This record gives sequence, structure tokens and C-alpha cells, in this order.
Amino acid sequence: MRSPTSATASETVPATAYALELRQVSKRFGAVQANRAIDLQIRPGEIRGLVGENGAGKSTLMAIASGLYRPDAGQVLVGGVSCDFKSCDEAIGLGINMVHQHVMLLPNCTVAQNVVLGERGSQLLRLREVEAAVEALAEQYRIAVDPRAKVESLTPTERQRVEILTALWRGRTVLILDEPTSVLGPADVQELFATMRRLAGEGCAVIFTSHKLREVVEVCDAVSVMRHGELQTTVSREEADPDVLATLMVGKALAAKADHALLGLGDDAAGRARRERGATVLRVLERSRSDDEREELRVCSGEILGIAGVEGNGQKELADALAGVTRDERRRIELAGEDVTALGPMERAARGVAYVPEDPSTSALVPAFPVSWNLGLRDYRAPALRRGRWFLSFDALRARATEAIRAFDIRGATDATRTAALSGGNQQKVVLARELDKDPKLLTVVDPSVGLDVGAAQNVHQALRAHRDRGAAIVLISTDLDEIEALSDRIAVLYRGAIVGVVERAEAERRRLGLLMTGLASRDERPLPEREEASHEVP
Amino acid sequence: MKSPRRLADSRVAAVLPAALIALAASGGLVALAGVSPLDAYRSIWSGGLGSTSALGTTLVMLLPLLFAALAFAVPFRAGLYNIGVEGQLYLGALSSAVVGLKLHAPTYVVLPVAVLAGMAAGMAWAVIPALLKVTRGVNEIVSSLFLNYVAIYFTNWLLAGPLEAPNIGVAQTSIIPDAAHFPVLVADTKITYALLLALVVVVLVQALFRTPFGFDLRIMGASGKVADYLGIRSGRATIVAFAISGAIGGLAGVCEVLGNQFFLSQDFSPGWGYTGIAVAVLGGGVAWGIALAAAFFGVIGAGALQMQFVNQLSPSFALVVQAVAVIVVLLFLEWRSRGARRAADRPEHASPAAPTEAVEA
Amino acid sequence: MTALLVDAIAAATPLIFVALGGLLAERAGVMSVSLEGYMLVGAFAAVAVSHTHGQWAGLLAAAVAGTTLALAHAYLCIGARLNQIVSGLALNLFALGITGFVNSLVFGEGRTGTQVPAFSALRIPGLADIPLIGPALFDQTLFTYAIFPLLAAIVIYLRRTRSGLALHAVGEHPAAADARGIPVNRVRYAATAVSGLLAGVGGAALSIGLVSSFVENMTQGRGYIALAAVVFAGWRPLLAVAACLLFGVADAAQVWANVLNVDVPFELLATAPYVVTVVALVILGRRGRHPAALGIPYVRGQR
Repeated sequence: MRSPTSATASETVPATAYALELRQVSKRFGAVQANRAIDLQIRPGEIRGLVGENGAGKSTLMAIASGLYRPDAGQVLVGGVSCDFKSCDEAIGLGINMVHQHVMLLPNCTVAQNVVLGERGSQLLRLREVEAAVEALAEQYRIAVDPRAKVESLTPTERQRVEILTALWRGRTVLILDEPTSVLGPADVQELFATMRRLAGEGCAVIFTSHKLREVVEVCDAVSVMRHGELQTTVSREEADPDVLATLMVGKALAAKADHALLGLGDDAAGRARRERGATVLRVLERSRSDDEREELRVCSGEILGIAGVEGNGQKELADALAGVTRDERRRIELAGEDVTALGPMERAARGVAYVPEDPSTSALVPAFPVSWNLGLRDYRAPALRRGRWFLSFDALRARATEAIRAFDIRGATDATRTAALSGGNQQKVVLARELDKDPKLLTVVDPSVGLDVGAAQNVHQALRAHRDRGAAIVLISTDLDEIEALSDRIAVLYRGAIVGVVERAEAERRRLGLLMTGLASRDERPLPEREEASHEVP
Repeated sequence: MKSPRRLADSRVAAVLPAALIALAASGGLVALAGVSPLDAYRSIWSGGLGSTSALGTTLVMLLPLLFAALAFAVPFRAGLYNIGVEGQLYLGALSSAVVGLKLHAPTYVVLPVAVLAGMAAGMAWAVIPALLKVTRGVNEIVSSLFLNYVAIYFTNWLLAGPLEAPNIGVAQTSIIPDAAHFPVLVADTKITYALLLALVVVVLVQALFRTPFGFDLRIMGASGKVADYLGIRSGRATIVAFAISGAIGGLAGVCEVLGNQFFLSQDFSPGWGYTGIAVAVLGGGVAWGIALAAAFFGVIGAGALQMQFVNQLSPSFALVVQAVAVIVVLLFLEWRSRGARRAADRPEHASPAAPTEAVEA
Repeated sequence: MTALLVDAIAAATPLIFVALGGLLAERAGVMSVSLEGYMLVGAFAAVAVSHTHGQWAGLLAAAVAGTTLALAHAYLCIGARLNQIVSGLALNLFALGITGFVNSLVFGEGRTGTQVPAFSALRIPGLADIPLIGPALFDQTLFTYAIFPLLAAIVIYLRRTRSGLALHAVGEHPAAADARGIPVNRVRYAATAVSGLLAGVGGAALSIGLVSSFVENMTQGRGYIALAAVVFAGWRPLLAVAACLLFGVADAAQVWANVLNVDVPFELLATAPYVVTVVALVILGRRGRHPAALGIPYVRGQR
């Protein structure tokens, strides 16, 4: 292994000057070596990127740095002093704060209450004073948030601001940001970067993890790359570009294949041009107050319609409405010309609708069931799977599962394996195997590669492309623009629960998509909806 | 990796060591009371298993528990709690007693009518919390529990007034005529055809979970999110599960009043509806496991009666043994499943390139 | 009317202790089906110890007994991560058995109801002469008086203190609490222990406050009623106390209807609080929000 140390950083600065230093840190979970002998030094005022595939050990490393886990071996030094954190509390006491990927706030409390949660101090809370102090801090860092607002009334972007504010409140030695941009639109990302730079200017060390390599290159002074639990190398800003980082992340052999999935460079434009769109499979109509309907979406056979959008803008709601899991009063849904709005998931499945929801390992699979049962969840009522008139034939389920396991190459599974024991990628395969089994004419997928490593994500992408090429219509809802661009034939943008624009892939320009995603561009592809025009007419 | 069948086997296999541990621990309790544990165990043996009449007592004692536990188990598999079995068995007993008292006809008419009336009453009472849950989102634990008190007080009121037997001065019904009794199955014991009915219900409950509807319930119990995703009609399934549960709960009362006591009194049940929950849990929620667990409870219960008689020990002893057994079984199963989960984290299940997601979580 | 109020508050007093205890544990995310058990062991321990060492020692014994059983519940729920409803019910069964069994050892088999030293009503001169509410509030046992500071302390604790906020976080979003350095399981153990302590004292308020003896299963489901009061109140302390008072009134009304020969069968009157609660739950519908992490054990790294 190459020395992980960046030459410029370690030799010129005395050790005591590091804001955070990890020495030979190792951590093991069961048989999995999550971190192996990691050395990492971060100077005050430095913005350090940390990249790696899912499972490379980034989160574990950050959890160790923030006191959530204790390393099996090695040392954590803060300001040159060795620390043995027994809880987050001790790390926070030294000014090390982490902003988690998933928001960690109490929804039914105010911003101020959330900011002071867990802080030591006099037992009695004087909320007015706290609110004033929080407001002052927010102004100092130009973070726009009302300390008196209840968190549940805030948007995802605002919630993240509260998280950052909380971290600043508790100390400003080291700030760790774990995938902070996944909930942000492009403009908010710039705002976050400004805050990060301001903090660095004050001498705070900032660690930034992201799988969006372009962002990492844009904001960081240096980038550390992790792979298989080890720190591969640290490259300076000058040397770092997305291609280099991607190669380092996945290793040379895989790199050629991987950058397609990772960077959206795999553009099968030629294939796209050759293929022709077939008949309309799905139409989504938006109902307005005055009984008028506006076509929100139309998806044809043989195409993938990508739906981009910042997290929390109605992705799940749209997907659930398409599959019939929830009934959306504002939408009417037509499948191959038939109005299916009133039908539930079972009836729609019978008409050829398949659905791979967000986080399928818990929302489309029963973790405690054997693989064979999970493969049969859609059709266990079918007469072919009965024994006698009344009973399920678990043997028939098992026999069928054996086939599917072979066909989809579900590794580590027999029909009787508890599904929870499979890796994320293989659980994803179980869901795909089941959903694609009846050759559905409409498939809705939400964030299909979240939590998967590059290889597994590629398998999923291949399965989606292959299914499209068989003539199916696919709705791909993803918060990852790279993924959308890599797979889609057309791209629609979801903002505040509604589709605000649809563009051909060839015409899709990143800047324009970004504007649409944050509501800064109007729906100029089509006339404004009826109700808005009506309101203009009122003098 | 275990097949589901083997998992169920291991669940039942946990009952035996738990029962032994509970008995050993309770030996200490007995010693505290100044009675030799060996004497106590001898009493349990002779009272619960040692003779035909002891076996008869055990079987009679376990019947209401068995029905109550099966009643609890059906919605429990779907993640729903019917804590209202106690009230359902009271109303089941009440309606079957009324039929037995008022309908004068041969056994082959009275008995089926009484049984069906009891089942219907239990069913109707159990459907109330299910409907409240489905239509109004009322927590079924609280509503079903509270309906118990309503059912019991209502029964008490009838027993103190309209149904009170003349000239005894105790709030209970007259003796129910023979025609409505369950016929005796084994001569010179109190074992009746009610036992056969119980076995039929055990088989039916076991079979229920192999039907598509039973599978719906299992999915609901394992993950409500997945049930919604699949479009399982959870509301309807909840109501049906409670209806089945209530009917079985009603049978607990029916079989006790028409198979053992032959009249209905205030404080008729010593809390079978609640103890049945413990039996269901001890049996791992599976019908035949429940049958075994009920047998254990029956032996301990009958043995405790013998201990009261021979060793002058309070029959509350039985509750302690039973409670300890349930807790030990729960701990045992939890430790075992944790061990299984740890085993599942071994790397052969994860693709070699990527450690399991547990690492990144 | 005054006499009815006196009885109602006397009957509500034990319930209020138990309900406030249950409220704290549930706000921390631990289900408290076992309140019935804590209360029962508390009631028995109070009588058994008061018999030989007087009522103050009895009160202490009740607190210790309730706390001990609560710690067992905490271990089963937090440490061993069992199904909290089922383990709570099993503990209630255990409490029923062990109190019955030890009662027969202490007082002799079949001989229940031995009178022991107990707390009697303590009349506060002046205040007790206020018409209507005077005797109801100021001619009661120490237990009733203790409710006022206890309730005030709990309300201030939950709304105005850092540890109250931490307790709330542990019950709503344990992962967030953990990330802020709050020891989730330690807070839960502590809250459960306090719930056992208060419920044990509630048991004493019944056995050596309201009466002065123990009979088998003397709590008769009061623990469940207290739990229902908590649910009914949407996990808010003041409303929980109000709900307990409602049950107290219904309890007292039964007795008084009987005494006054009102032409309502007391059995039917006895169903009133249960029917009222269920109807109230129907009306409230889905609005009553329970702590988000109620009944879910916390494991670091699992969302």
C-alpha cells in the first residue's frame, strides 16, 4: 500500500498543529474489517474531502472520529493530544461535531431546543435566552433559520441548516459533514460551500464526504480516497479531478467499467437514436380545482423516463401513486388508456405494473422471510402455487426460487436463506427478480443504486436497460443526476410535489436541470396550468 | 441457515429447557416456604400427571388456557394485540349458559346452538376494537383491554339480577341442564368432547397460516410497510383476524361452562384471557407449540392445587413458575436469534468486494 | 356531593402516582404494561413491612419493591430487547403470583386482610373548611398532598430542563439523542426505575393509604387504568392527572350509588370510565401521538 500521507501536509507542520489526527486506526465488525490501519491528518482551516464506494469504510471512520465507535486499535488525536472517546459527548466536548447524512433532529421541538439538546449546562433551560443566542450565531454565519420554528415545519434544506447550526453551537474545531449535499439543490450547495469556506477561514477543520466527485473537487483543499477499509491515498486539489478519484476509488481494473455508472459518461446516444418510442403506456394527469386536467407525464414503451429532483420533493409520493400504494387526490393515472386511479397495488400488478421502491430491502422485502417467500410475495395467491384448494404450496415457491436465484445470480442465497442475511446488492436482485418476473409493461424504480457498490449498481442499471429494450416503459426516480443522465431517454424534474419540466436527454443541460430542481425556472415547456391563469385575470 | 420449519422447531425446543429452569428456580421459592422442593415436585407429579384423575384435572385446567392462547395467537401473528380475550370468554360463557338454561331440547340441538352462540358473542365483542382501529385509528390494546371490564361488569350485572338463580343468595346462574353439557369422552374423568373440539381448533389455526389469508397476516406481522406496498387489505384482514380470535376466545368460556363448571358465576375466570397471552408466547405463537405450552401450564396448575392440599402452599405458586418459564423462553429465543444474526454477518454472505451494509450503517 | 369528591380524590390518588410514573417511562420510549405489577408488589411490600416496622418503613419498602421489578422490566426491554408488551404482561403474572405466595407465607394461607399500621387522613386546618373542595383537597392522606409538588416537579422537568429535553429526545429519536452524546439506554433505565418507584408508592397509597391491608390481586387492574390514563392524555402529565380524577369519580360514584340506593345497577355504573375512555379515544382518533420510539429498543447503528 502507498503511504496515505499527503507529503505537503505532514512534513512541514509540527504534529501538534493538526486539528485531528488518526494513527493506525482499525475497526472490525464481526468478520468484516471496516477500517484497517488508517492514518489521517487534518490541519486547522483545511477542507478535506473523503471519498470511497459504499462499504469502503468512510462512515465507520467518521463515526470513530466523532466518538460514536471506539477503534479496536490505533489512536485519535485532537490538537496533538491522544483521546479515547467513550461517547460522542466527549468528542463534542473537544469541538468535534458531525452532521449526519440522515437528519438527526426532534421534529416536534423548536430549532433552539434542538440546538441545545445534549449540551451540558445548568439544568434549567431559559428558552428565550437560548433563542436569542442561536439567532445571533445564525446571523454570524449567515445561516437563514428561525430559532423559534418547529423543525417539522421546515424543508429538508432548512433542517440541514439546523444541523450545521447545532454543530457550530457546540464547537468549531472539527466539522464532519457526511453526504450533506444529497438533500440540497445546486444553489443550496453553493451556500453550504460558502459556510464551509467561512469556517475554514476561521481555522476550523472541515471533513466533507460525498459521492458527487465534482463537488468534492470544487470545494476541498485535498481529497482522501478510501477503498476496502483502507486509506488509498490523499491527493491535493491540483491533482484531483473526478476521473482520477473514480479510478482510485474502484481500482484500475474496474475503473474503465465503473466510470460509466459513476460519472454518467456512459452515453449510449447511438442506441438511443436508433430506438423508437412505442405506444403510450402511462399517462399521469394533474387534476386542478376546476375539473380541468393537465398532462403531467407521459411514458411510452421502450423508454426510460428519468425523474430528477432534490430529495424530499415528492419522489416517494409520485412513485407510490404510480404503483397504487397510495391514492393521490391530485392525480389521475391512465395505464395503456385505462383509468387505473381507483385500483390498488394488486390490481395494478395484475395489469403489468411493477415497483421497486426506495430502500427496497425493508420496504419491498420481509427481512425475516426466506428468499423463496420474498420471491413469491406478488403472486402467492396464484392457483399454480396452491396445494389442494386452500393451502399455499411452500414447495412450489421453493422450486421457483431456485430458478430465480440462478437466473439473477443472487449470490450467497439458497431458497431458504433469511433474506436479511444477503448483501444489499443481492437483496436488490431479489426485488428485481420478483418485479421483472411477469415482464411488466411499466416499471417504477426509486433511487436504485443508493447503498450499492459500483458493481452492484451497474448490474441494476444493466437490468433496467435490458428491460427497456424488451419494450417496457420505465420511470426512474432518482436524486442522483449522474444516474438520471446515464440511463434516461427523457428527463423530467420534480419540484414541490409536481413535475415542472420535461426535456429530451440530448437537450438536457445540467444548469437548466439545476434551475428546474430548485424552482428557479418556470414551466415554460407548456402553458401555465388553468388555475394560475384564472388568478391572473382577476383585476 | 435454517428453514422456517426448523426455526419453528427450535422455538418449541426452547420450551423444554425453560420449563426445567423455571421449575428449578421455583424449587428455591418452595424451600423458602419451608417445604422440601422434592416434596413439591412430587406433588406436582401426582397432581398433574401421575394418575388418570390427575391427567383429567390437568386436561380440564388447560382447556380454557389453550383456547385463550390460540385466540391471542391469531392476530398476534399479524402484529395485532387482542388483549380482550378475557371479555370475549366471559360473553361466550354467558351466551352459551343462557342457551343452555333457556333452550329445552335434546343435546344434538342445544349443544351446537350453545357453542355457536358463544362463538358469535365472542366474535362480536372482538370485532369492536378491530373496527375502532381500522376506522378511527384507536389503539387496539387499550380498547380491547377496556372492553374486558365492560363485558365482565355486564355479566356480573346479569348474574346479580335477571339471571340469578333463585334462593341461593349468591350471584350465579342455576345449574345448566344436562342436555347442554359436553358429553364425557373418557369415563370416570372430567374429560369431555370439549377436548376434541380444542384439538380441532389447534389443527385449524395451524392450517390457517398456510392459506393465502394466513400468509397475508404473516406479512402484516413481519412488516406493515411491505403489506402496504403489496396492497394487502390490512383493514379487512385485521377485522377478520379479530373475528376469528373472538370466536376462539368465546369457545374458552363455552367449554369451561358447559364442560366443567355447569353454571356461570361472578368472577368465573381467574384471568385465563391474560394468562393465555403467556401461553401463546411460551408456545412461540405456533398452534402446536401453544398446545405444548398449555399442557405445561395445565400440569403446573393442577400440581399447585395438589401442593395446596398436601403441602399447604398457596396456589399462587403456579403463576410464579409460569411467569418465570415465559421470561426464560423469551430470553432464550432472543439470545439464539442474536447468535443467528451474528452468524449471518459472516462474510460469505456478502460479496467479497463490498463488506455488508452493516458496516456503513 | 362533598363526600363524593372526597372519595373520588382518595380513589384517584394511587392512580395518579402510577400514571405519572408510567408517563415518564413511556416518554423515554419504554412501554409500561407492567405498571400493574409494580403497583401490586408495592402494595404488598408496604403492608408486609408496615406490619412489623410501621407505615414509613412500609412506604420505603413499596418504593424499593416497585423499583426492583421495574429494573427487571428495564433489563428485559432495554438489555435483552424482548417484546415489551409481552414481557410486561409476564412480569404482571409474576407479580400476581409472588405477592399471593409470599402473602400466604407472611400472614398465613387463606388469611388475608390483616390490618396493619397505615397513613390516615391529615386534616389541614382552615383550608379544609373551604366549602365543597376543602375536605376533598385538604382532608386527605399525605399521598394526596404529595401529588401537588410531584406534578409540579414533573411538569417543570419535562418542559424546562435539559434532562427533560434529553428524556424527550430518547423517546422520540434515540439516534439523534445518541449523536448528541446522551446515553440513551442509561436514560431509559433511569426513567423505568423512577416509574417503578412511583408506581410502588402508588401501590402503598392503595394498601396503606386508602385501606390498611393487603388482599390477593388487590390492585385489580388499576395499573392498566393508569396506563390508559396516560394514553388517553396523550402522554401529557396534567391531562393524565385529570384522567385519573375521572376514573376516581367513577369509582366513588359506584359506591355512592349503592349507598344512596340510586336506581342504577352499580355494575353498569362501573363500566362508565371504560366506556368513556373508549369513546374519548374514538373521538380523538389518530390525534393522540405516542412517543415515536415507544417500544422500540435502541441499537446504535440501526436506523
